[in-house]
Amino acid sequence: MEDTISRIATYITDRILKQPGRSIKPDEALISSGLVDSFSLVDLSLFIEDNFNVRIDDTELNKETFDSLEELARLIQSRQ
Amino acid sequence: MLFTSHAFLLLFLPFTLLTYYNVFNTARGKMFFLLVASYGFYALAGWEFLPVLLGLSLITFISAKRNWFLPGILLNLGALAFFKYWNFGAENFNALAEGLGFGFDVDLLSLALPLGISFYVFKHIGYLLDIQAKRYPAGDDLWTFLTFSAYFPQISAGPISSFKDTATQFLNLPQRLDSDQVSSGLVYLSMGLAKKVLIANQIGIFRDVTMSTSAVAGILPAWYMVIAYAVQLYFDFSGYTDMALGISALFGVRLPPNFNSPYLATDPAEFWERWHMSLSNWFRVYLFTPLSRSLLRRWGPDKREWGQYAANLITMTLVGLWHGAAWSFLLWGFYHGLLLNIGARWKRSGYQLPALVSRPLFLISIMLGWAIFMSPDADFLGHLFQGLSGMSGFGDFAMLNTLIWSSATPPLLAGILLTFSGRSEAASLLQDKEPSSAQRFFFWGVLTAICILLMAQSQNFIYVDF
Repeated sequence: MEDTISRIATYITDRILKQPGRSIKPDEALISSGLVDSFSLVDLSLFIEDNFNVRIDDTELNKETFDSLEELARLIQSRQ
Repeated sequence: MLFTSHAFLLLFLPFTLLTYYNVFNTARGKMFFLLVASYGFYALAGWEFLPVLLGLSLITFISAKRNWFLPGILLNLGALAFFKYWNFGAENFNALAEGLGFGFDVDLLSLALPLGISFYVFKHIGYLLDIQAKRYPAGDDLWTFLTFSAYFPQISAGPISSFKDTATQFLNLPQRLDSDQVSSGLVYLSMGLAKKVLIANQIGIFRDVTMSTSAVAGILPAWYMVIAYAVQLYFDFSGYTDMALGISALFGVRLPPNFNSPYLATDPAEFWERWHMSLSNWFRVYLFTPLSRSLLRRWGPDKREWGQYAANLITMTLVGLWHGAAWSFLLWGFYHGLLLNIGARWKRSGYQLPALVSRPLFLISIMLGWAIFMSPDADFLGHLFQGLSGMSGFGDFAMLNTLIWSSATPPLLAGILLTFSGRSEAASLLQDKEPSSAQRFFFWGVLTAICILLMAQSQNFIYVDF
């Protein structure tokens, strides 16, 4: 799980936010804080599909489904 | 029949509630009654459009069962395009043809817009796309689908809900509601009624007789009229939604919220998470997300930003078009696409303005959008923007005097106060543990009685016309 969190966090900071030096805490709010917007969620879902072979449905790309790295990592693990 | 009419509040609603709870004892029976009541409600609004509602509902149901997704979607969109956009398309085609020197033109038709077609067509399309994506299987029961399609608390102007969320509730309709559920439904209903009758209507009545290019000549009158429209539109539509949610709650069916204090948003993206939430959610799930996936796959990560800009502009322009067949709506949608792109670019830059600067800037940008939205033609828009920018001076003293001392000013001030206090949504009131149910009942009962007395001057809900 920590490896999953780390990989996702790196993708978000490096590719989405374009802030490589930034760190994101595992329980930090991603969507409700506005850190990751709707387009970035799609980008993130494609990264998860390509790297973890897990599909997140379009109706699940919202804070009710996951709002932190921990929640997202748990979702990925539950579908692997 | 408006929710704010005496016929609805004093006859239709009490009659349907009494029958619903006292005559029908099974969930199935209650659902059939809701279906009959919904078609009855629709017929009272305009029986001639019943075949359109029924026809499109049947087409959608059959298309889902037979996996005819594209034909089902095209037929629904085709009906919407015909009734809503034929004349807009024809006028623009004729203007273009004339400009290019072609000798023929397309006839305009005398078409009325069937009640709720913009909303139920989107429910149908959402259903077909959900089945196609295998989110849940196509429903087996035609009657459940017909009830979902025509469900009267949401047929006029939403909120747009999914078949999965709404129809499953029809299978488990309650025998009775407990006192908290009744109280909650009545608070939503009363709050919505108060927002519509005491604030939106009072501003609207004044604006209807005052709106003209001379009323927006000058920076102060122009901003007064735009802010008045912004408050009227919000209280009108959120008032309708509160009533819809409250009415539906009294039948034991939860509908999704549509508003969450949108003028408290701090950036364009957050605004669209708080304004007309069921519509923005629909566009996000069924258009923006698939479009973004496609652009990201085709253009790759290096052109990521351009993909976002394109997805925002296309989606929001279509959101604008959904609102109506006029260039002002298209322009307003496109403008919001630009705002989203500017917001995204700004976030990526990492710069942060102090809230004292960023909040007012953001609100001004939303008001400028409403200025586009409310303009009936380019001439008015031009005058309005001259006024807003100060190019036509401060404004005529007599007009300023008329505006400030008008009947619209007290409800406008009340609306602004409620909006920025975060107490403009019924949900925010229900979070309070105090006052007690009895005090709440008394307060809202008195407010409702006042509204019923004032309902003689009732205006149609703005979003019913979209």
